[in-house]
Amino acid sequence: MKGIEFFRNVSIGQYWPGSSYVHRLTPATKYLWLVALMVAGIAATSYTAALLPLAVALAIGATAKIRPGFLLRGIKPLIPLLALTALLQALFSWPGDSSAVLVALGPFAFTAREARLVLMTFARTLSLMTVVGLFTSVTSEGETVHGIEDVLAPFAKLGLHPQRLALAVGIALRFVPIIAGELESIAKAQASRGADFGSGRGGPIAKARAYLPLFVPVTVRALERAELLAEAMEARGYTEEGRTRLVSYPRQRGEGFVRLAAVAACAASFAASYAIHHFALL
Amino acid sequence: MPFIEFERVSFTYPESPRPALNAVSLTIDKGEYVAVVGANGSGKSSLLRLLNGLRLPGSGELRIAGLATSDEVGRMAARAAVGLVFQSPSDQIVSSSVEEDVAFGPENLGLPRQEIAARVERALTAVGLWGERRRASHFLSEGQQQRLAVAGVLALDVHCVAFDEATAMLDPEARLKVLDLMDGLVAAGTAVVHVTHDMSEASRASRVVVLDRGAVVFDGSPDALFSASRDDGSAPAIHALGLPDCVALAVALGLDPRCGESAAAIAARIVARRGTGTATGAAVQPVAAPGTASIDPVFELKGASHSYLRGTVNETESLRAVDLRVGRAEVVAFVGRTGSGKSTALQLLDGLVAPSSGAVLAFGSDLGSPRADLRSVRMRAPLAIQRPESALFERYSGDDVAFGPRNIGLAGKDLVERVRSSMEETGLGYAEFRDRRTRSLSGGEKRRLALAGVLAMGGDALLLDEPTSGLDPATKRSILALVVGRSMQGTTVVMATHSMEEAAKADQVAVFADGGIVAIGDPRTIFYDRFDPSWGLRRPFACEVAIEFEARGISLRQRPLGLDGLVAALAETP
Amino acid sequence: MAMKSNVRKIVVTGALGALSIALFLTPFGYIPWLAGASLTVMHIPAIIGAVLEGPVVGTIVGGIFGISALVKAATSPQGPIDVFFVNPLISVLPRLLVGLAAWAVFKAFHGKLTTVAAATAGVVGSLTNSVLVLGSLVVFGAIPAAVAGAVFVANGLIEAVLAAVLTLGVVVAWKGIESRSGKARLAKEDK
Repeated sequence: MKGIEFFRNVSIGQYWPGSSYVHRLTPATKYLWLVALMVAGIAATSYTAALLPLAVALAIGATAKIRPGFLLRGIKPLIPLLALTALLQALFSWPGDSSAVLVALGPFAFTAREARLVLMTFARTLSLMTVVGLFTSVTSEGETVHGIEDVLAPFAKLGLHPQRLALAVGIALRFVPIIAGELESIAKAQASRGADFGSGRGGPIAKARAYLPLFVPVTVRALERAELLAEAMEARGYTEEGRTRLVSYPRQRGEGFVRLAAVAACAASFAASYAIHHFALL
Repeated sequence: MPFIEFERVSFTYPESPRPALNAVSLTIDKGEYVAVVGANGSGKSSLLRLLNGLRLPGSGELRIAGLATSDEVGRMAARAAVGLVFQSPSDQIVSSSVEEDVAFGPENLGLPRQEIAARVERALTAVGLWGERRRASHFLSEGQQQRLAVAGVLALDVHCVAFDEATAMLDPEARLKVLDLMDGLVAAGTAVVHVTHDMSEASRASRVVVLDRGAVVFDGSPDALFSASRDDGSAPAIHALGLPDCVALAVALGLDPRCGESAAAIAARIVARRGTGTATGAAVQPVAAPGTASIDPVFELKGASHSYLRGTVNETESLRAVDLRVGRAEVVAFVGRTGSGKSTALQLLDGLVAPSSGAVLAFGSDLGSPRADLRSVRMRAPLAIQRPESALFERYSGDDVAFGPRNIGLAGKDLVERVRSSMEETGLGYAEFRDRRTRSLSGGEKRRLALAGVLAMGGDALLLDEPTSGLDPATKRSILALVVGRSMQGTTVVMATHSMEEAAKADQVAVFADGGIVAIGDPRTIFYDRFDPSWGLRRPFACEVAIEFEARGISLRQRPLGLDGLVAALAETP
Repeated sequence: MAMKSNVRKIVVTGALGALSIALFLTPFGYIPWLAGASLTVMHIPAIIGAVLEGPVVGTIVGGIFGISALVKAATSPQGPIDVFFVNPLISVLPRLLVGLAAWAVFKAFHGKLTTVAAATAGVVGSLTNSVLVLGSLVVFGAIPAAVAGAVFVANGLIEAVLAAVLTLGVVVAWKGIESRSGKARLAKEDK
């Protein structure tokens, strides 16, 4: 029997509380490492460069006492995906692909170039997954939000408003359970009136109109809440100049070096790619 | 010099043709406890927004601590002196962290960290939430969230806290906590301005101001107000306000009304006036009409359990092995604390949620069987969720009510007729409201419209989740009358409610606690014989008074459930 | 009051961002379509933010959605293509542009024909989402171009229609735009 279930406890990341050195670093430093490793992972053009962030993330995770198994739990869904991607690549061919054919079965040919593409994608994805997973494991929700303000603070001079952005994100996170709950209530209310979201008859326009009784009220309510909250914030004297903040993140010893290390790690990844290409290694 | 001084203040909202406040003059001193009452649109909310400096007077002057708010300095002073608490608890909270939310105000003031931390501690302690400071704000109950909002305001070290119908959305227990908090604030020297619809709440204040269409029509003590409302010469707006139960009862019996009088006290006075008289033996028990439940139940729960987020790490049980039978045309009331499982039970009845174990039968068929037509059951027993106005989606009111019947297949003249009768039934004239934009309706009108949409399904049953919460007394009464009227016509009604007076009108009352039904029976059995304070409920006022009589040796011939019944029973008892 | 509009924009950004995330995390954001594949609506709040409040709000709402998709892909991936969203160039960058594109289109109408403008913004915003996400998946080698093209035709075009209808529905409701007759549709059946 299909009911409409409760989703008030939805959550996004998977914070693993701890008091290791890594946990105690300031949010700004954590963001810096996140960006550094992600850039390295995305821009990598060799397997080594693609897997370097993975290795570094696992190493950092170890010092933060996070089990590698936890960080690598994304491997399982990746494997069937890998196979599927390989299959899709085999079915279609890239123009100008003149590399050696590795496997051929009738009209389907899986070339070396396609193989490399699939493996690179796999390596890169696994790497990025681990890096992001590490970040969410050692960074609490509060740190994530305040970190936005801290890490973008230097850019305030360029016209960015880090405080506003952090506030918007904080408010978003805080509204998610409420809005998820409201989605569910409204779905139930409309189901009672015979609404039939999505399933069944009609072309795209009919389907879209069937979805209106859910989408319109939940969005309008979200906007109404926003107006109410804005009023409450103003009533509590919200202002942008001269705001202070209760929560502070003291710098740990050696944090300056940790930050430099992030930049170095990123640079090293680029250097590795360059070296490998130039010296024609794999 | 008075703390707050309105001098001939007028104010009009930008989009509105009429002024919300019209040359209002009013003063409030430090430490006063003032209730502000009046119909919707009387200007109560505008008054509060002017107090805090959110809005500026169009004409006239508002002075806080001597400074005019039209001046920037005065405005800042107003904001620092007066804090506002709004009606919707969760729409005032900024941060996911309780602590950080309270810190929001002081942070805006640019205070140093230590000062902020000190203020947060004081404020949370004052509202009794210091123990929750590390919790996520969305895990607090609505009552706790409202107290968090108060803490957020207290952290600004204000001299006055103004509450804009801040208790309307809370259940009775939470409401009482907030009211006690208000008492505490006044005792500590902070002025409290409390805008409310509830006359019992208003009578807790030392002074009541009545607004009507932007003007003050009464300003005096609650006692004086309630005598004025019995005086035919007073303004109609004053008559339109209800009376608290204790006052209404005293008036009906010809006694001098006293505000805030407890059941025990008024019973003592009544007894003293009549003399103890001889007990006439046991009260005549009315024979409970046999319900139709045992014959052919419309709804049945057999050992039904339900849990949220089954199979995940956050799984919580909301209902444990509940048994229930609801007969045709019965009215069943679900009562119990918030979180005791009432809403879940309602949603099980028409198949909106599936039980994790046990069975649910509706209209004779097992909702768990693969052949069950859930869609038609849901339409035959539509559910009005808490605050059904959240589900309004059509541009025009008439169309929204028509949504349900259209899905049943009505069209043309039949459809129009169904919409018209449903709208008229809820008190919204068809001609006047059909082409009104839904978003332009007032809160009460939206609620009525949403109910009309549910009624328009023409179902054999109605499932209502707190249909009258947050509404003013007059609307509450008319909706209850509507529901009872429907049941007389054969509709089965199951309704979850926090109002014991409403529950007393039902045929059966089911008491929920901790996910199970701990008692079920007709209202008299529940409120007199089996009543248990651990349920977290209180009895209807008339029952409390009647029980006080028994303690003083007077047995009424009929055990009353409402004030009218009480007065009649007293008249019959020698 | 200049202050008021800033606060409002911040909170609207947060609320619409939350809506995107809630649609994304619960089944309510997925409309079943052809066997298996669903139509998604979580990019539509970014379009609505752009239309109602401007490019900055639209962009940031898109960004919030993109980043939550990224985090979810990294921590609890579900579907086949889900995993690739750990790459912000696939999950975040396209969504930043959804709001911007929608706003640009809406602005081009110079405040006239709000209904048409809103619907068109919906279409363009949704197409931007489809084209850029599918495109970046191809660029990074996740799926071949032919597959991307097929998905675009099967899903992307329909999603654009969906976005138009939903964006229009919300804008009309929120801004209180009267219909041509100023009366309920029911009036037609009420002769």
